[in-house]
Amino acid sequence: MIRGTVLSALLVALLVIVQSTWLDAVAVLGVVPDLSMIALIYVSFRNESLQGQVAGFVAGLLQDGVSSSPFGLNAFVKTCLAWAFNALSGKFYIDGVFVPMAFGLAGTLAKAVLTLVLSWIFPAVVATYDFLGPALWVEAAYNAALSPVLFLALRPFDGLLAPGDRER
Amino acid sequence: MPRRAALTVVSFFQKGFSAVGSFVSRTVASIAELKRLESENAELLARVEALSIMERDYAELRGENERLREQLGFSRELAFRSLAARIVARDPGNLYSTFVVDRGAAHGVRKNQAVIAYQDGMEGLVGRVLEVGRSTCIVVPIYDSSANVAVRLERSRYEGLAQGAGTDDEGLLVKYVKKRAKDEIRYGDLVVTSGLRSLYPPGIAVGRVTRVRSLDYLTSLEVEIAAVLDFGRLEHVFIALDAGAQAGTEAP
Repeated sequence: MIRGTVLSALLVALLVIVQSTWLDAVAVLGVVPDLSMIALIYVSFRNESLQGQVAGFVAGLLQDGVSSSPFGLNAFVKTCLAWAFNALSGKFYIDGVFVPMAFGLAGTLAKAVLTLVLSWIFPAVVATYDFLGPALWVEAAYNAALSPVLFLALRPFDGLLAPGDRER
Repeated sequence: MPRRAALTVVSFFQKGFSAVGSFVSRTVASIAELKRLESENAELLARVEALSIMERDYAELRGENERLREQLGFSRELAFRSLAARIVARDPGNLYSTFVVDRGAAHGVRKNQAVIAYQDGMEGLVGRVLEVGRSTCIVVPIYDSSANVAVRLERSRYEGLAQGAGTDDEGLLVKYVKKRAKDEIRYGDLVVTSGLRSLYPPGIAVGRVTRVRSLDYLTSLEVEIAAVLDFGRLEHVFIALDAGAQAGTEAP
């Protein structure tokens, strides 16, 4: 459990760093995919414990450190996302393409709605996605397209990331 | 404090990843570069010959320039000391537009110092230092929705306040420009920092006028400007270390 949590947090944090350095080269309309969120969704869904929430909180705090977002915003959003997908754990069978795509799309939209709600509470400091602008939908499409690939890439590491996992 | 600790830890790895990424892209690019360099070399040899002639003229002109400066009472000192920095990472998300550079408190960088860059032979304003780690700092660009810059239209001398729209391709909006300036503002006019009640040193190019809006219900004009810098191509910036002495000392 502890090893899986630490490895999950490291994986999500590593993908935050990759997003901020290398992915700029593959940005579409200035939008980069949220690989850390996709990995977090995978980890949260594959584990019935709080592993995803802890990993999301730690990686979110690190992301807050290198962003101009209010400190704690990403930690909160990632923890909520992890909780939501952890609640779905065991309720879906993950196929190769469609469920991961739906998860990537749903995760992005859930993130946008969460930041929108937070911006109502803290209007001066929390930036929100423009639901009518292209950035949100480009990111949603990008995340949906990359989710099957990342899910496939992470599956061989289930022994490390989801040690107590049963086949779903 | 927790943010600074997170910045220091994460940016350590970001610098490593950035270095690896740069190495790989440089290696790939260098193969194509070899052929181009060969033809450039021949071209440059011809230019060296032309420049050696210009060098002789330059020494003469420099002497004349110094004499003229002395007469006009200009200082030979630079306007402010600056520190070169490389962009090592950008904001991991798509909501915020900050970036991380490889200079921090250990190099004398402090919060709210102005950041400038040179591109296509022009000096332009990049933004300001938002947060400082030990060896890195976060820079918030002028197009960020939280950025405000006191500006002046260089030709007509009217002042205003430039605010970012959130993305680099949306430009900036200059507010509080007097309505009587409408007939004097031309498309393409340069907008520079005014240095008044601001942390940015005066006279740094911010953008060029793309549109002027005069709305009946507003007592001032709204001027849209496009940034002089192409932020997508920025790799290196300069942090103005002691520009605060020149500009005002109040918050932006």
